[in-house]
Amino acid sequence: MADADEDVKPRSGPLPEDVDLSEEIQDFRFLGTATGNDVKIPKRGEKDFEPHETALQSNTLAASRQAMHNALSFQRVHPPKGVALATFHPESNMAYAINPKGSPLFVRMGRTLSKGEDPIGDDGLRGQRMWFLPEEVIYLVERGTIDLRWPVTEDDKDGKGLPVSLQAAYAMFLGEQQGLGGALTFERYSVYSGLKRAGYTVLRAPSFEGSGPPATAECHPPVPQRTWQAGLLSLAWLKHIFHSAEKEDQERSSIGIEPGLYRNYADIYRRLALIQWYDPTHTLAAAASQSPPIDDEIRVTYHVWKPGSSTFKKSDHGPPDFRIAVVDARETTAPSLQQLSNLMATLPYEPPKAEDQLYQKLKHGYKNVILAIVDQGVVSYLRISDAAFGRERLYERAGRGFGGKRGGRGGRGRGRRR
Amino acid sequence: MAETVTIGGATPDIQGIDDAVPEASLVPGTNINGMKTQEQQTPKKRPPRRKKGPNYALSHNKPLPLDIHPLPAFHPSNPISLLRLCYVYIFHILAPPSSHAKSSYIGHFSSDTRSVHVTNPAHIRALWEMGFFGKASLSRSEPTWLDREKARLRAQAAGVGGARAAEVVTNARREERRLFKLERARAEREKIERQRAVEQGTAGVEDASESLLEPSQERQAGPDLAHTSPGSGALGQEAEGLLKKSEQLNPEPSEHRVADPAARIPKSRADDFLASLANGPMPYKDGAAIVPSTGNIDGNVNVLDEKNLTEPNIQNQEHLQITLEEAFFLSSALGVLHIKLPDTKQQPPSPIDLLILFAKHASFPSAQSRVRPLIPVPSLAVNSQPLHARAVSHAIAVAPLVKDPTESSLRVPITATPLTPQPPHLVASQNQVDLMGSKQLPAPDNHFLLNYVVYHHFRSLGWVVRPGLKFGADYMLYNRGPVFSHAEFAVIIMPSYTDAYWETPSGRRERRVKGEKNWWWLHCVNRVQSQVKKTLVLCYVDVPAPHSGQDVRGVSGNVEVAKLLRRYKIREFVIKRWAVNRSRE
Repeated sequence: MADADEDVKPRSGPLPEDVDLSEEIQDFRFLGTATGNDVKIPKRGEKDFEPHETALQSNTLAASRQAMHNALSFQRVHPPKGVALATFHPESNMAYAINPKGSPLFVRMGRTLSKGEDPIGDDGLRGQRMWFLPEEVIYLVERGTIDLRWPVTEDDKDGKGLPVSLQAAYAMFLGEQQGLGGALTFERYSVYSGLKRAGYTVLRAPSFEGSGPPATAECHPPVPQRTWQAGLLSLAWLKHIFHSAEKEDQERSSIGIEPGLYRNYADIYRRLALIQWYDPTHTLAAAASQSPPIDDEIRVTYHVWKPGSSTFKKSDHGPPDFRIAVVDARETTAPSLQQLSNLMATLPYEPPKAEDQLYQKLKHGYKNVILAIVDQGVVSYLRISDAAFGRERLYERAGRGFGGKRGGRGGRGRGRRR
Repeated sequence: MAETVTIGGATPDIQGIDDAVPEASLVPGTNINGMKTQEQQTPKKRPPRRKKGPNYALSHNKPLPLDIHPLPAFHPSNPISLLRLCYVYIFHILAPPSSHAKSSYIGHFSSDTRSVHVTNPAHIRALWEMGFFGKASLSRSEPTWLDREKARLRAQAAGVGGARAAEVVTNARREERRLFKLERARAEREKIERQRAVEQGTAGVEDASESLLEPSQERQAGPDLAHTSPGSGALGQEAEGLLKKSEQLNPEPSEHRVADPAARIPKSRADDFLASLANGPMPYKDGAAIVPSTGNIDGNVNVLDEKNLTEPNIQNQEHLQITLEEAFFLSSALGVLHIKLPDTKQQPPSPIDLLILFAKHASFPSAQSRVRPLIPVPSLAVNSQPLHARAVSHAIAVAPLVKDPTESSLRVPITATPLTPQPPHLVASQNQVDLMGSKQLPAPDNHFLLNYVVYHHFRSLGWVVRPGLKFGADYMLYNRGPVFSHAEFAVIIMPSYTDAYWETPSGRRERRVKGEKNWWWLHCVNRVQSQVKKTLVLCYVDVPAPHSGQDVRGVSGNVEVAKLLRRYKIREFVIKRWAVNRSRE
């Protein structure tokens, strides 16, 4: 029926993609049922909106509160063999640990630096020294996985250095001081810790600070390979000739459709094409490199890999699954075209698959990035993709059933078997 | 087929119902459909056939109000098809049929509603069916007012309606849902009361106290209803059992029920509801017709029995309202709409004149309006004539012109005083209603121009573009039309000033959109669209610098609309929420 959209009732529950269980307060009473091999996320309890003044309600509430209190008051202990000792390095604003063990986190975090990069120099332990970036250090200290110490001085009796408190870690690593690769802000750290807690592997992008390397060849669509023979033999080439002739036809003065004989609606729609639109498949590498980005408030900050990614190795990352650009909601406004186009220019070209459905293709887009908008610690992720509606012409899609029979195709050319 | 005749004498009725009749003979003892023979079948009642809806694929066959003439198909195996093909081909060469209808559709421009009105019923039907242009003024979108009025009058007489229009179905469903919610809220309150009574230890007298509590409880039902949003699944299931509804209730928070009707029902409605429950099922209220709720429908049947036979004679009061962008597209791009201006002395406007006129009306108050009467009250009687733009505009044109609006007590001041002081030459000192005004081209970031550029872009790709006001967006994109599927995309237009001219001080002053939109607005819009299952598309329109004069003029020296529009560039971005927990695999 006409405009049936208005009849779409507000859904009785939130959409599946909007339900983020980590944002809801869990009912800790159900944690007890979560033991065992098949652990699922505990179901949330029922929500009451007003006091009923019944003893049942207040008892239930008290029981849930007590369960939460019990769960949170559990004391964490570290196994004695699993302590990793890390030392703070003030000059480079990073921390290093010698062969840290004891947590599977170290498989994906930290890296060893080469001879030229290592701030301490090329001593015997360089190959085993793992350097942690500021955000990694704060995250590990918060978890309690590493034992961070100040640098050793003569006064230390046990040769370990004073322990760094959490406040000190925050004070040293967050802020303007440059680490190896750039300064860490609270917004970036919020995004980092949120993603790490969800299980992803997060590394800094090259454009973490500054504009990063110039756009490489993968950021541009591939130049279509057309050999001489293939061009002559394919009928598509002939059609290309027809289309280009029609394009010149369209440089007309009027935007109107002249009354005349048209065989199908596709012809009419083609004549209506007037407005220029940005085509991501036709940008040339030469043109893009000439104009450097002038305003890069929005930059790709982190490269993120999925938790189950089997292709990730510390030595050879492979292409990231997601690219995150961190933005402060209070300091910036909704992106302008200039900012978005500069951002898109640094991204690799990932066209949708040709056999996808129409809507999937449009939503997938040719280039995409995830914006992490941080508002005083609350993070919201938006995926922005460069959709080119002009490339998906609805009138050329088969099966629309307009205009009755498809007799037009039989008239042109030799006529084909039905 | 002979076998089925012999088996139990199957009636034609049973045979005719199912479409696909297998021709192979079946096991004797069963019908052609594999069912038991008639003797065993009669006790089982057949479910009544669902009435088929209108065939939209047939009525909305054409995506645009233009005709195409395809050549007939050529079958190599059938030589006659070749003859037919040649005949049609030659016929098309000698007497080429036109894509446009012989007479174009007529629309009347209305300056006060800033739209174009179409009044001819045939034109209304054609414009709606071929491309979903416009919105009927008294219906939701499709012009159904006349049918609904006739059905309503017939329903008043007969008591049961026939084929129902969209608005009627919606109202019925909303009423059902409202009743259901009231019932559910009542059931929950009862449960809480019972629990409370149990705990207070008055288990013995709990029945008596319940019945005592109920009437007094209903008095407090009003403010209670305002707070109670049923959230727990157990109570909801009980209410389900009460009403045998199949609605799914989740134990999830109802933060999305922003427009919960139960929460806004004032006290008197709850009383009414309970009172009418005692009388019998309450008929749904349909629009303006208030059928008395104390069930005297039976009384009406006898009175209006005679009227039942004749079709009620009503004059169609509604017209089709086309937005300015659609009107410009229909008249300039397709050439099927002829727009008449209120002043009949002026010649039909050329495309560039139309563009200037529409651009002037892009904002409210429009760039050339003055404070002046909308309806001179004594000259138009509301009930006698339909309020079409044509009639109103004519009345304005012949009404005595008053220079100072505060003088006379004849009218109601409609337009508010403009917030920005109008240039003195536009204030009332002219003697003519001069809609065409000056020939100055509009600013490049004019609201109408940007809207039209985006509209034309998506229409030329094949999308059906409808106004998106109901969903908080600028446009809705439909694949084939609103009757076929829900809109998939909601487009929001963001003008962007990337040209170097807009960075200069004078350019900055001339920008129409001065502030930037913030992130909260973007999240808000995104949430609204995802609630209604649509994808948000940000359409950035690159506004060019003001034209230099030569680049918009054609060979003849006149400004050309195509050149004006070709200076804009469009880039679309699709926005979606990304959930951290959902993207792990």
